[in-house]
Amino acid sequence: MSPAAPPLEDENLLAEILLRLPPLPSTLPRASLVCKRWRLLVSDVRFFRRFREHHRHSPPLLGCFVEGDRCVSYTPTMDPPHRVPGERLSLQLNESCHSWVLGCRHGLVLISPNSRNHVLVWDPVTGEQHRIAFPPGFVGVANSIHGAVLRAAGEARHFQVILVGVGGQDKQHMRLLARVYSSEKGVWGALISPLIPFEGYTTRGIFAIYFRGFSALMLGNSLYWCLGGRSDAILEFDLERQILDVIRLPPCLSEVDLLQFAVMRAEGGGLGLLSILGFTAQLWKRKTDSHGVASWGWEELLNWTSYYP
Amino acid sequence: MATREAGKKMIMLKSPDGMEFEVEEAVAMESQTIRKMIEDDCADTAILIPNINSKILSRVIEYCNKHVPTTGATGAAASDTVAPAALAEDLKIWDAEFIKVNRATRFNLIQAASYLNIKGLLDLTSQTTIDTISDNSLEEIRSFLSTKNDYLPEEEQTIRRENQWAFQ
Repeated sequence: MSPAAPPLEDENLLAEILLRLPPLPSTLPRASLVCKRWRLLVSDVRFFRRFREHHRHSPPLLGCFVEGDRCVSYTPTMDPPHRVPGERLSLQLNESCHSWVLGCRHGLVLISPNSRNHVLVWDPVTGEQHRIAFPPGFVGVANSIHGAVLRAAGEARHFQVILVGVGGQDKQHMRLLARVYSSEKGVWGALISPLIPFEGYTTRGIFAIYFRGFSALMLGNSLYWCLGGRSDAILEFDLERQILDVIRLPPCLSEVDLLQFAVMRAEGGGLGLLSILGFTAQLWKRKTDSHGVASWGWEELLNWTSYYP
Repeated sequence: MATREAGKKMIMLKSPDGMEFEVEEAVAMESQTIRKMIEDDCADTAILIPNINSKILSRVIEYCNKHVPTTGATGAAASDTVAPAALAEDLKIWDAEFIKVNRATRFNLIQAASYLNIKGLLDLTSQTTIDTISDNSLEEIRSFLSTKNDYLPEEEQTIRRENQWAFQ
């Protein structure tokens, strides 16, 4: 057998090594200047997909997308040379009205035009856009629909869009809605619409439940959105088991007026909750006891006034 | 040839320069390539490992010995009383010492890890190579990797212009 070529002469091994370049914006443009072979390799779409997959669990935060008038503009937060110019990753929209960024995940941005009859999935790097019409049952009522976009592990091309909604409500119940779109099949999955017991009267009256503006949090196979209105709560969608449910806030918070809260990954994993009331922030963690009953455990109190003498 | 020693199944690995290494089957199976050969029953006699000389093969076996789960050759590291976090930390320190080798050896280890399909070793060797070069200038990278710049000056300028922000 002839002696093997040194690793950097071997395309497969060179790719294997370059995959481990840090996942920063300037990495691949700089690597492509080493020589023509490197440029050919790092601009190959298959390498690009492997690179993204390799760094799936440690993506850097490059910047943020902000909705504007007929555009979604990108604001970089990294320092040079990783500062991709805003115009490079911004999008001009043809919509005549305002659009909302529902969330970004796995290199895709999910945009909902105010017309609320379709969503737009946009890949800011390649510029690719997919316009997906709403499925039946999701009619455009402001703040009653939210969504998320994601790619399954190991998937570089196809994506899924999850639309969730709060349907009809009465004093004791609310109807939750969810449907999952698969770009591979090009269709929406079956409608999931459980009727959840939900006490209608609170000190806030019987205002409709709506989605707070935050993007969904993804933990394991579940997505979480924050709900507000007559009562604060968290909407949970288990993507694998296709189950929709509502998680109540800790009892001492559930009827507090002017409460600000957000879901987050708790320390050590699991669902966490940050609640802010006045100058006090509290951290909570969802815990399950030996009987499988889940409840909120109080983790930490952060009193902001102590930081400002 | 496969033999038995102290209740553990042994496997013979042969390098192209004629050296033979008797290793526990579990250690050899850290290599997915060898695992497949054993599972497909192609490993009754000694397994010839092409392209990997005895010096590199012995280092690879040393790595697999250390990383084989539960019955590591050093014994102490695999003790039940050691917490998993401490074990992981111990492995990390061991890896950092293991990879302190010259460039040629490291490249040979990358080839061996790739051929034998040992993910941990491929990660360690490739990542170390990247860590060595990632803070260097283009010229330093080319010289370290003995790669020639085959761009014409105007071609290089065009590429820089395309992504000017990345070269600031």
